[in-house]
Amino acid sequence: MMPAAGAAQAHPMQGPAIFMGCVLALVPLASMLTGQSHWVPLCTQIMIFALAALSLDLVLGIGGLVSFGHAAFIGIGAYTTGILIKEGWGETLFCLPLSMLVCACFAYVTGLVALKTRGVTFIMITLAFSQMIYFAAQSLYRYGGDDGLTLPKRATVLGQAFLGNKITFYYLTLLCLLLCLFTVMRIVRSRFGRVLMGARDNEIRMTALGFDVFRVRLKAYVISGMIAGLSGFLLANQTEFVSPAFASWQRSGDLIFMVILGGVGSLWGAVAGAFAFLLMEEVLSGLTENWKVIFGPMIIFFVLFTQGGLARWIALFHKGRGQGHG
Amino acid sequence: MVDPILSVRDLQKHYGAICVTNHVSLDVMPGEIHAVIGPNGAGKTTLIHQITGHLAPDGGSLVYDGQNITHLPMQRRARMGLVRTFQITSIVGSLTVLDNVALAVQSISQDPLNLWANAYQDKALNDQALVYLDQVGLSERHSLEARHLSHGEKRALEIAMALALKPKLLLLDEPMAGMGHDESLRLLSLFQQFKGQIAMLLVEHDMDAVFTLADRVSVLVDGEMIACATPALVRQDPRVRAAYLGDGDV
Amino acid sequence: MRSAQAMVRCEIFMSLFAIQILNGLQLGLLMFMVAAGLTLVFGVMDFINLAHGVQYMIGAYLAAVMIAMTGHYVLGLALALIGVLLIGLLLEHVVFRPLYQRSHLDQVLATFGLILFLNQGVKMVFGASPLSVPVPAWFEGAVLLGDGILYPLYRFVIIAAGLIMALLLWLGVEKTRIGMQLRAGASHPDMLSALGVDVRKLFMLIFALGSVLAGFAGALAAPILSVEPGMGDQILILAFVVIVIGGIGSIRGAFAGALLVGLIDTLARSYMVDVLRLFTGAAAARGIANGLSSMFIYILMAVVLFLRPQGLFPARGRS
Repeated sequence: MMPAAGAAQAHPMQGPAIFMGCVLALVPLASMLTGQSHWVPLCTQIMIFALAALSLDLVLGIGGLVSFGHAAFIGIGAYTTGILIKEGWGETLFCLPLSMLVCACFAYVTGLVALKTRGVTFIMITLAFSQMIYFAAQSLYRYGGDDGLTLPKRATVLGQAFLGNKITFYYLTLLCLLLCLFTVMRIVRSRFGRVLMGARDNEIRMTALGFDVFRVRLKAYVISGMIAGLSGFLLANQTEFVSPAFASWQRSGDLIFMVILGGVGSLWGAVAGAFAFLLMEEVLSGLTENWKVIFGPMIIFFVLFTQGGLARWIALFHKGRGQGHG
Repeated sequence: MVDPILSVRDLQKHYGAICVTNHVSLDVMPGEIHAVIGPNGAGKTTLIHQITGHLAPDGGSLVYDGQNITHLPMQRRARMGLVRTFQITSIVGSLTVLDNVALAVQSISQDPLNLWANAYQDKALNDQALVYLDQVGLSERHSLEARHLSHGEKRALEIAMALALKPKLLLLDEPMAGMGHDESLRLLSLFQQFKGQIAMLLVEHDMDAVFTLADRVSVLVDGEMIACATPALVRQDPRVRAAYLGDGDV
Repeated sequence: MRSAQAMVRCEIFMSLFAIQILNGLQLGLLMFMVAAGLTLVFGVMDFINLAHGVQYMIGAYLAAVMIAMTGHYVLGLALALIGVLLIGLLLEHVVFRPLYQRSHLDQVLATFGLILFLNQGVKMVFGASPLSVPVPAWFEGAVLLGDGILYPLYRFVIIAAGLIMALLLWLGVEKTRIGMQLRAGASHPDMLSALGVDVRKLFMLIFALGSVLAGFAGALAAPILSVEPGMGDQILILAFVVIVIGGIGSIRGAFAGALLVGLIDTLARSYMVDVLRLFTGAAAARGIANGLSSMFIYILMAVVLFLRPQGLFPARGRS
């Protein structure tokens, strides 16, 4: 008798992810047809943050670890890339892996300390580490300090300036996003992912079953940091500028909101949440320069009156179709 | 002369001035059912915590299966076959019954932390898990989310998870607590089945269960081991009667 | 001749050092007033209030406005504190109360939204440029510390005010009935209602107390720090660092942590530039020093948390 599939929560839904991928693939075409030329760079930037939000969802949604310092990885990835480009070493095949490696190291070292704590202490210590990166970036006198660093150009690919083309860069970003999304989904459904999720819900039980929860979380934290570092690489290239603000705690807060907006733990929801958040920001800031005065209460209402974000609504909608519910 | 599977020597634990484990020593022989009884607050659960690695003792030693495990972390002990169930049932509520047991099977499998293959559709893990679920009578409920089980069923699930870890020594912290009559009987017969194969250290208040099952009984009062003998002898021990059995039922 | 010069240089160094110590104390005591309320709210109510820094900002702005309007320092200050209290109670009722039972994540997010709203609101009402608040007339001028070094009187006033607040808090928490409930709540929050304490009233009291303290710190700081939108954010993070170092729920910990953070931050900032000047040019040294010295506090926090995760003086009963 073949056992039925596990709880839907363990199976991040692939349908919405595929749907989003298709829609995003068509954006440049739509932009050309409608003449809205700003759609492509806008969506590129949103996808970059969606990638970062996805990385956060791995540790926050699946792992249950509220990291208030994920913007640090974006900053590290961006600055590694920026510095390399500025110094004339701006080749993607070199910059990209190096950015991710530096992030992995940072995640490993800070994770060793942070993951020994829990609850609010964990939140604060991740915040502290990201503040260290923020201030470290500010102290980089040679690379602009607080004003940031304008990059002479984007990274080359095999010596060619492929990334300079808006459309090429868009599809590269989309590719990175989809690859990471499906990779993370696979990881979540793997044995490793199951232990990570189990530890979120009942840590002592997982330890009693023989799993080294600390090591598992550390690994997840490093993977997450690397993906966020990738988004940093992309961001540096996209804006052709790096600044300490990339690692600010407000950015970390934004990322948390994107994850919650889409539905904690749903993975594709982090992407959707990033789109909802940044599009809303785009629309509101077009209306008034004081858009935060509207945005702030919106966040508050959202927290007070919804439970589980977009993903939960979609999951509930699917419940009738027998796909189970998280 | 067979070596004990677990040897607790001179274990001590204090919280400030209060001594909760006062130079406790005990042995569990392989395949034996060894019960630990005592009034509330005697320190029975604390003892279990120290044996499993949840708490670090302040002194004394623990030798399991020939190895000194006194400072070994909990997860290492579990994978060596030193497995416990909890006084307050502890399962992963958001996963299905089957997945809970599959997790245990996964833990002692070849590649427990594989990053790629779908764990939920792993036939090897699932088939093995079903075997254990069958033993505790939960195979009908395998696709249910574990949080929806009744109290007794959750206990049975915990036992299935413990069995899936192929234990040499099972530490059971009040397994009968809150169980209905039928469920208790089923659990008792299950334990009888394993007698001789799996050693069990059983903390219990249910005296019927204790005196039916146990090969030996240790009595813990105020952190101190005051007796350790067969059930019949313990029942008659005047110190034990005074401290524990005397006021209650036997 | 040489030794006389060396002695003079040494004296100057000691005097400047003394000034930095006083500055560190002053900063530390300001942070203590903000952190004390925060540690109670978090320790007893298990509520993460990111918007606590905003109370500090509101205190500064209201003080600026009320003092300018009434032309009278004490009256202006009193009105400002009443305003802070009322706003604090309003926020508690409308935004915080529904959040008590929610997860920390929800609390973090909702209070984050509150920060956005209030920072922007203040910007809309008062504009983005810093307000200037004059030092009250009675406290103008400087005090002579030995060796001809002058130290602003107002900063001494801040130190004195901070120490008085600390003493009052200590007396209140250690010697009164309510203080006892507070301490009980900080070490065993779940026991509170079981003991028959009116938890709602206690929470409101804690909130009110915390708001007023933070607002008072803001009002005190207004003449010497810039009063601008977002001024509460940095203080908030520092306050969290302080309570994490000191031990959550512990006023004593907040005091020790705040003084430690205040001193280390001030000393690092004042001597970092000089240290860096040994290695690089003046402009670069200044540029690097700012960022580098800001990092010190966080390194300190990471070290403390690594060695003693419950903080330096955890509320008794917690570990």
